[in-house]
Amino acid sequence: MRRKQDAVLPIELSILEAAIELLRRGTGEFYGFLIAKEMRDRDAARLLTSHGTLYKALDRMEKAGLLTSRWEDPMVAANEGRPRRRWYRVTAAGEAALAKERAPAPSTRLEGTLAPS
Amino acid sequence: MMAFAVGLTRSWVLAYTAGLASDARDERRAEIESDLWEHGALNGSNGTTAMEVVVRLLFGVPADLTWRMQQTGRKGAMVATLRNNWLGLLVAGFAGAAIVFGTAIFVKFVGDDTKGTLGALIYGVGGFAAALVMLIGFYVSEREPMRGVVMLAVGTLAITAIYFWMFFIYVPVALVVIAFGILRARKFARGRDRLGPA
Repeated sequence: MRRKQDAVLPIELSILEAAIELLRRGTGEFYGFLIAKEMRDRDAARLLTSHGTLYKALDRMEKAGLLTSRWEDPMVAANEGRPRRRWYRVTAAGEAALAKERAPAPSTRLEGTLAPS
Repeated sequence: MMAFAVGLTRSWVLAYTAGLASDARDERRAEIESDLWEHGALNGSNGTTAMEVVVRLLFGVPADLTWRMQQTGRKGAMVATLRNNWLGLLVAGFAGAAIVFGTAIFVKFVGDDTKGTLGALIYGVGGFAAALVMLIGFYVSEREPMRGVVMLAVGTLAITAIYFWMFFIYVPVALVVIAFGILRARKFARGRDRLGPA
């Protein structure tokens, strides 16, 4: 299936929603496993999003300008005895895309306008 | 069990990122490494976590392969190969059914004490691996007819053996796939011989 220009896929919408929810709770940046866990908790799903689906979506979203990323300082990771994390952040374009997807469809608004009071 | 799941995932990541540009390859490997660590650190290295890691690996394989094709710019070529060739569609259907079937059985067996982990691994990982070998064999048979048709035959026979109780469907289709796969490979080999060495 060919992707439409500027279309936000369901997995991308889910990532954006989970990221904004994390932001609301004070976590401005997220890494892959954290967002997968947040998405699972939000959707009350049994399984975490698969590696391939998640990281392909994050890669695509970064290329589309919906996210930015940076690699963690290796010293920080080494001090905590774990591999480096790749931290992602939702961009203004990402927030705008989410707001656009959440906005009611034009036909809904038209029906609302024409509905008898 | 967790060590097996992590090893399997690492092996798969090494395989599908092999030959890519160093940036894309190293970043994907590092991200999966971090994910595996976080997963184990949060949930502990028990059997359930290990199964979850394997399920995440299996469900992500199609996305991993399409991501790789995007990185190498071969996605269009692969789709065209399948679209313009009825044998390609048959191979894709055969392998696709094995992937869906194997994954469904794998997920059902996870945590089922009567069927157990071994069954989940044979039907899930085994079926999945065989289907991948089959698809890759079909794809490479245009450039390397001998290697491709051997991989195609091995993958097809492995799927037929793993799902042996469905022999009445798999055996006839497998015979058609292998026979026409050989004919197709011979055609490519003849074409290559006529053209001579590059």
